[in-house]
Amino acid sequence: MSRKRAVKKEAVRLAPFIHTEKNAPYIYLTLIAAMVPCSIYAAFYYGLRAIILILFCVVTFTLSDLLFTHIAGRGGKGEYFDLSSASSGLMLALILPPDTSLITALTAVLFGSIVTKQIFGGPGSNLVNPAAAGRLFVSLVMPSAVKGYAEGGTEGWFMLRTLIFGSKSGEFHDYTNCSFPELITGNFPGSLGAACATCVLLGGFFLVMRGSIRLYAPISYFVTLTLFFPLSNLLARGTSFGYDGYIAFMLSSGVVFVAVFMLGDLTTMPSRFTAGFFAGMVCAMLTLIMRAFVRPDTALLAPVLSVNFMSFVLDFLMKTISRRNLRSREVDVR
Amino acid sequence: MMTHSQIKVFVTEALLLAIVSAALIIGGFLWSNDRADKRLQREYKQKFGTVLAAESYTPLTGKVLNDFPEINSVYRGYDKDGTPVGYVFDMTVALPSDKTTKLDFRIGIDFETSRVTGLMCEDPKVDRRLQYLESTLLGKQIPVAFRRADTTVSDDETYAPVEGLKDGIYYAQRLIDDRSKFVDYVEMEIKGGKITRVNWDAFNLDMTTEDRSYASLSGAYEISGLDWAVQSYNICHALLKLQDPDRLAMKSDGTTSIVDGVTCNIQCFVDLSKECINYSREGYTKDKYLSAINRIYTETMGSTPDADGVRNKAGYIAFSFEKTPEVYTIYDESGSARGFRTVREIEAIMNGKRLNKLTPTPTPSPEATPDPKNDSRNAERGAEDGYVKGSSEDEQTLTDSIDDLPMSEVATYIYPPSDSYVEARLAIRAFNTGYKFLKAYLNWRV
Repeated sequence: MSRKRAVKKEAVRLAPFIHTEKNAPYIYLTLIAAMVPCSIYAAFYYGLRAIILILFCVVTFTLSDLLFTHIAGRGGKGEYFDLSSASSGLMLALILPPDTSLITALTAVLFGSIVTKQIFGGPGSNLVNPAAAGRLFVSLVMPSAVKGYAEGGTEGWFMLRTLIFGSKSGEFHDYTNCSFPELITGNFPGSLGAACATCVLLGGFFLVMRGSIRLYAPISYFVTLTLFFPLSNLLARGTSFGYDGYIAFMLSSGVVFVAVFMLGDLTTMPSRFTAGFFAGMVCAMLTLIMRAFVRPDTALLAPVLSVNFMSFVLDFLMKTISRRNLRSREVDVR
Repeated sequence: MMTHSQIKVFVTEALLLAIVSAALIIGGFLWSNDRADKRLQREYKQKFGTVLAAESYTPLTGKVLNDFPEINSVYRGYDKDGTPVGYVFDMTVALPSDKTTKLDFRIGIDFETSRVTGLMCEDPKVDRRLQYLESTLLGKQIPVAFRRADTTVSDDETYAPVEGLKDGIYYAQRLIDDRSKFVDYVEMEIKGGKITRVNWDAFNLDMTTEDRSYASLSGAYEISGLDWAVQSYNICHALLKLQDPDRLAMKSDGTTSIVDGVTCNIQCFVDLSKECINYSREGYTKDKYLSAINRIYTETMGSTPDADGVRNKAGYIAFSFEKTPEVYTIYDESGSARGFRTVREIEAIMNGKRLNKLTPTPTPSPEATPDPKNDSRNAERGAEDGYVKGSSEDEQTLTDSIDDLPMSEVATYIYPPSDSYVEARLAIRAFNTGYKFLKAYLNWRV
């Protein structure tokens, strides 16, 4: 009897009936796997506090999402458990300074989870990247709690004091003093997991292999950064119109992490080539301009949120333009 | 949904990714770490070289830092041989009265002598204004206070010594013990007509018990406030500055409010100090005193201290004359106690002499407490509590605290610059905070 009722229920489910290997849990699992190199980097350079901070962000983000879903009455319909919360929590932890206190991390998590994700309808419905929004929120609201980066190294492996008290000595460094080996291996003071360009690129390679990334925006982002860097240099330093410090900027500022894990995101970035390319370009331009006037972390993340906001408009416009010459109302499946 | 084999492939690839990345990270660290260390030291030198010249710097960590919110970071500097040369503090300092005015300072402190090696404010304008302060403080010992604005006592300031003091070492002890069986004594050294050394301590009638200062440091003797040894040090230090026990402004309850860090009863100290000063005027040295008390014991008890085993290792007679009050008490005609004799006076009586001037001193016992109104000591001390004889109103508050440090610990006094008082005061606070940190970090005993 109950089986008949279940069959009946199944029969009245609405479309779409799309079955694919690359469903949401798969994509988020791939994203988490791609961030494993960065997590290992964080654990190696910053020790126990990095591991605790990462676990804390992942767990609290997941719990916050589950709780809000329960309160909003969206859960309990037998839907699968997606891993978007865990991936957002992990991404957020990796872009926090190593000396972030747990209370600061929790603030970022709650903002990212509730304000930017759950209020807009939960997984897949968020307009902006929750991790970037949470991180930017604490930068703007609690600037002294995330005022810079600390040196990594084996000496601080077991230091847990900062998890409670935060750090008083953090600062944004001048990375032009760093040698290339330091820059490429992430052996300089940076965010918890985003400082090592090698690890980020390794994760990006994994995403490409697994087909869980759109490359339009990241590529246009890198190209625009490269082309317009001299102009930004002039704005930021007021002295030279050239590529002085270009390598240091590209490898130390976190733009590689932004390109791979934020601009390649399937949820918050435009799905079409033209729109994605345009969004990447705009993001890069904003970053280059803002780095002359605001804190490095703000200059890095505010442009991401800006293009996140405009991505659905861009997608809509590009779809309309592409359909202008079509005779029928066929669905564009590209 | 993923099939079983697809999950296997995924997990294998993810594991491979983790292994490759771990290898890359460790290899990269080994490849770049030497360069990173050199770069870090270059940055430290650039940053801290102006306040402390060192070959390398190492950040200090520890729970103590949590107690000093003004300190952002502390580094220890080393020379080429790896010998520590000093400390560098990175601080953000605000005045307690005005939290909105904050300045970022870097200060350098010498390792051995706690002397200032440099001062730098991150605000270049303020830094320029504080050049004078830096040049004044270079080579001076911390903690620091302003000469006029924050205190009225100075190491440089001279207080007139008591007249008529003869050089030598003088000593006085109580003739009875206190409730803990301690017998207080004061030893004073006079050089050039000035008090140059004072020691206030107490030995115990039980010779297996350590002296009170050691007992207080080991926790065996506890009083409210600071350790008794610290309080004893502070009051002795104050007397060295003031040169006269009357200037300690002892109140009728035996306490003083002008010496920071001293909350205990100082009556005994004041009385014994005065006794020592009187002995100094008369040339009655420590040796003579010890010989006299030896004689008093022998004549009172009928046997020698050595025979009775009451002489302690330091050579003092650890005995209480409590049961023979007639030896040291001065009675009036009605038979009431009105004062106490000193050892010198008792000895004179034993010699059959009468001293010209009777010097009533200490040793009040619970059974015979003189009437304060009739006590001649009050006439010397002044009529009001805490009053300092012969001083102006300003000078009555002889000590105060600065940045939660007792003035007795302040090592350097400077005149504040007239054009940038607030900035200079913040810089002073930075140095004093550094001193407090080092005191806590290194477990200094003052």
